Amino acid sequence: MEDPKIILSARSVVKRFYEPQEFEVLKNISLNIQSGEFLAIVGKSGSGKTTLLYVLSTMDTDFEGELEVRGKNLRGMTRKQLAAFRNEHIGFVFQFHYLLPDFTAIDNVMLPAMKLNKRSKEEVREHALDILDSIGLKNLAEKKTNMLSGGEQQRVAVARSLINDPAIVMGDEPTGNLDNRNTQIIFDILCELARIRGQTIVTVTHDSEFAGKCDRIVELSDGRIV
Amino acid sequence: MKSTNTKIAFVYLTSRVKQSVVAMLSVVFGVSMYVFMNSFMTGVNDIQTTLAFSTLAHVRVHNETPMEEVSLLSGAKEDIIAHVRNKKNLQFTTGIRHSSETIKVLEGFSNVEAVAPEVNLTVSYRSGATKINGALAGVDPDMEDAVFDTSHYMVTGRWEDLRHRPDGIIVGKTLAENLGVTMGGDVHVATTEGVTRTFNVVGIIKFAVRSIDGRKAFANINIGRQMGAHNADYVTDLQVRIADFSSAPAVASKLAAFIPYTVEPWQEASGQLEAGSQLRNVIALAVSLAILIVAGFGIYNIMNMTVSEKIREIAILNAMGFDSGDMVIIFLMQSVVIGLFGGIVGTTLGFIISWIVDNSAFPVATLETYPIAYEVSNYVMAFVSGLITTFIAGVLPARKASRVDPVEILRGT
Repeated sequence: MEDPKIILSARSVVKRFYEPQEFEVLKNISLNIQSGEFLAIVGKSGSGKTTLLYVLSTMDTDFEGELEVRGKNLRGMTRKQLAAFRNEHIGFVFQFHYLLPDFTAIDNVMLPAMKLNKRSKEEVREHALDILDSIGLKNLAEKKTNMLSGGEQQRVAVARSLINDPAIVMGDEPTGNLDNRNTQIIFDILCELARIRGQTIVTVTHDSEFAGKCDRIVELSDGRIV
Repeated sequence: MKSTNTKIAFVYLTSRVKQSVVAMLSVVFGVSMYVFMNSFMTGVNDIQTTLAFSTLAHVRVHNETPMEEVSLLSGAKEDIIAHVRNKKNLQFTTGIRHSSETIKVLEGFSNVEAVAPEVNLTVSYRSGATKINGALAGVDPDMEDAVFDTSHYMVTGRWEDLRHRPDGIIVGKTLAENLGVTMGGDVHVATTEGVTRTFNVVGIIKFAVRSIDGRKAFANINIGRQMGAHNADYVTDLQVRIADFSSAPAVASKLAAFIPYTVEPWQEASGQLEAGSQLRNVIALAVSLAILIVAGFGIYNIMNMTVSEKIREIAILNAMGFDSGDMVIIFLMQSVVIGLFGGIVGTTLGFIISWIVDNSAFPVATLETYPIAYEVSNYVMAFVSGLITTFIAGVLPARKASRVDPVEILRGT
């Protein structure tokens, strides 16, 4: 990587769907994301924004082009290696929280770190509590997540995405399923992460108000950046 | 990391208690039936063997008349006129003339536990107007008892009375009934050679084998020799009991090298006994395996449902960095735990069912209760088979979980 500030670099990404008929979703997309950037990917439904996010997040491997994260070329890595890479370097927040409903909030937050297995359980627990505290959920740590409200669940999901201090947090419509008040809370949390901690965040959204507050907006239309 | 997978697996198991218990119950049922069926069949086989060996010796030594009859005309050619005049049939010696030597040889083998000399005669019994053909066994009471445990089958009277009662006879139950004699009654016995003698009934015996109870009686061996006009060391058969009845053919062929008579293992004399045992084992195994396979399908079904139910969680776990190997561990572990618990409870339940049946009345033949064998191997096999079944039933759903494409699932919202 020429520029050490560039944390993610995608070059000439082409992605095709074959069902129901062959269709080029992403047409030769190149994108650099800098460390500490709060980036929004916007576009109409069907413009390919979610597809792009899954390509960037290494979960979708069926595309042409190059992808580097933290200077590491991710093409040609096995699914197992990619899973380990995601575990350490990428955090996710989805439209739906996707917490494990039978686990407590803190267990959910701890899971990726337990998988990474680089710190002791006590350290992980402490770290998880700190994060929950910073988003105002410390008092709910021992509650099962299916007992929490939708907004609280999404905040736990944000906390979970941060547990391994990832290079990038990726969001797929993280506020898409929330009311205005909770949207605002999540947005504030993400903003704070980006501004104060310098956390790189890439999120897909169709909420123009949300996008307007981000550092940079990438708009997709028919598979191209406009 | 391993313990994290374990934790997820256990939370999944315990959060769906009902399903887990149902899955476990199917294993419990399969394993307990396996234990019961096989314990029952082993019990039946054991009792069958015991009953059979009350009249059939492990190894029998006797003097077999040569089968081949030499044809005097076999050497003749077509164009030669053969003339056979005054053809004589030589009589072969029957029985064993000097049995004490042979008994000594037999008792020298470590495998041989007991030897019983017998003089078996074909006779006809008569009491009043009734006449019945049958067999009289002249036996040494103590040696006979050591081989066959004969005294165990006495209905009335004492087996030991044969020792000192030269005129005593112990009659099969059915034979006694047909003759119309009871204890203390008289029975006239006539050999095929025409020798007759009157005996006094000192006991009634019942083996629950109709062909024997209806035609056999026991007397002292010396009386048997007298009636057959044989010398004092003569016997027709030597009945041998060995340590392990299943090794009879091997022992027999070893003994045959030292004894100039026919040595016959029980399998030759009664092939259907062996066949019956093996067929019953096959049936028990087939039925219990079928039950286990049905249990396996139950587990497969439940685990498959679990994977379908948890498919979004699987996708999110994958997004967070849990790989396909972790998924296999998480879901296979659930099946294995179900199998382990099912196996433990199942073998216990199998034991309880066996015990109850073992203590249920079944007053048929010489039995009092249903025959049940308690063999560790049956329990181990049931447990292992249960584990293997649940493992196989768990592999397919676990593989399905490991192949979930997270993008497809997470996008499909």
